[in-house]
Amino acid sequence: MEVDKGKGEAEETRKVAEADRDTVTLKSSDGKLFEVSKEAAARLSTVLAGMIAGGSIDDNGTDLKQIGSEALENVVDYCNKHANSIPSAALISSSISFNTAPFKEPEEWERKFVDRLSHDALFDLVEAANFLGMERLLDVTCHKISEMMKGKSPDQIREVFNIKNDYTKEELEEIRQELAWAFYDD
Amino acid sequence: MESPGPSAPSATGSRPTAASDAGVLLPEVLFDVLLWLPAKELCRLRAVCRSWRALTFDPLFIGENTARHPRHPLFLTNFRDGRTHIHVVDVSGSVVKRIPIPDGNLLLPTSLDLACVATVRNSCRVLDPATGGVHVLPESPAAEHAGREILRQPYTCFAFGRMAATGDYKVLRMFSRPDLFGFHQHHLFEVFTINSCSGSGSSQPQWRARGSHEEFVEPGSVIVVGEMVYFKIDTIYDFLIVDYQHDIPLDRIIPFNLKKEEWGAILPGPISDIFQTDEYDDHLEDYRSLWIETTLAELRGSLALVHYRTYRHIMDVWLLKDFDDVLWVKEYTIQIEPIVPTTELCVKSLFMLGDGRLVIHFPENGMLLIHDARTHTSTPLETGYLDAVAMYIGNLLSLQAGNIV
Repeated sequence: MEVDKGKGEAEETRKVAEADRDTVTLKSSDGKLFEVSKEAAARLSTVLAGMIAGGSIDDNGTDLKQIGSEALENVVDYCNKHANSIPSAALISSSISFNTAPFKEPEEWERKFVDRLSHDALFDLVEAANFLGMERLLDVTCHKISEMMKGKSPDQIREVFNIKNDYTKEELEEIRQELAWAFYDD
Repeated sequence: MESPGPSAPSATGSRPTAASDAGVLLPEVLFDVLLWLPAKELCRLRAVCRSWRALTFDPLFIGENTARHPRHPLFLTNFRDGRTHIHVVDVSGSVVKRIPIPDGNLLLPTSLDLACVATVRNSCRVLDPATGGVHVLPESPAAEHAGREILRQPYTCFAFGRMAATGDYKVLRMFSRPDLFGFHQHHLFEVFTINSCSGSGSSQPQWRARGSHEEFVEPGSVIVVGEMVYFKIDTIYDFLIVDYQHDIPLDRIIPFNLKKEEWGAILPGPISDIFQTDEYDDHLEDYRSLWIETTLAELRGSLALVHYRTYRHIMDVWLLKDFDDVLWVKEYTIQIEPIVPTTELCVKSLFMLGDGRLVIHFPENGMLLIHDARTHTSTPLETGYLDAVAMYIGNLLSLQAGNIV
């Protein structure tokens, strides 16, 4: 019993220490450590907010086994850049249902942020944003990916997104006729 | 049915598991990505693979996507050189879908999620452009009208409206008098209800006879605004007129309440009262041409009276702002010259797009004009010769279900 109690006290102490810090340390799947402002992490990621509130943040680096170091670096980079940008009202209630949710195009700095990424880095980042519940980063990355789809042929889309064509030849012909109008430019 | 290449899976053969087909994006991420794209772009992406196609037909997805993007205006059209189909056309003139109809059926000028096509020979059907579903209305008359002389060679007009409270649709059928001067006979009026949840009704629906108005109305001028049907007075008055001060005003309008299925009080039009006053800015035109130059239309849920002053290429659009007080306001005066040829005597139908642009259909040259009142510019829609036009307020994404699953 005493051992348990001691352990509990140690836990309490550690939590207090953690609460005093204004950054959290995140650890990528390949073991790299990143520091990010606790305030930004809690504000931008529902998952990190939950971990901070629940005290499950590890001082020596919270394990994020699903996220590689490059994607995590981008996540942290985004959090830092976001902290420096002017927060806008539209971002605050971003998790409301679709009918009432403000629908906001990426800002200039957010566009630049995703424009420099390779396809692979972008796909990894969108997955990380999804995993961490980062609504705004998810919007920004999804918007970028949607831009990549515009004006591309089905073949080009399949190649970029590594999709197998599962239509039969007859079906493709039928779809092509049905959609002939959509392949003309506006 | 045999697939030629090794890469093309056969129709019956087993497909690889979904996981290897789905590509680099997680399904929930793909959902968020595709929400950013407008409907036309999404239709093109349906050719990528089955799962993308299925996602873009998902009602939840369509609902969210529609909430984000401006509505894609769609016209339903009868092309003169394509008499066996309704063509669904977008604002760029592209044909989005073709819907087969019997030859000679013309669209009624509605702005609904269903369409109604009819002939003057008593054929009428209601179409769902999304599903291709068709409701053919019975030709036989209401029991009370059976055996009437007027029905031997029926000459019919139809009107089609949606009842807001119930979601039901109603069709008004009008059997015209056999000859123009047949004052001994009134038109016959009948109403037919199409339930929003049709098919469940136990009894076969029938046409119901309704009385005619004491004044003669012009069936072909009919327009539906919400649950009200409006008519111009019969063209017969146009022929009989001697001088405008002593005859029936030619811009009178006669309402029929499609919900209550009864006639309303005559509405004075906006022009007759002011025709020879300073309020009316043009004394040159012949009062007699007023009847032929006016068209009834529905704009933003209000009754509109369109007055196309042929020789000056000016179109006045009067809106009935207040039904009870009969308050008419001249909302637009549009100079359409020189796009429209002088052979046009009237406007056939008028609609309004979500962004406020007007859509004007001229019957003689089969031309559709999109007019922006803010910039005073008119652009003809580059399509073939149009015999009739309606607006479709349904969603482009729901339109093309096809046979593929």
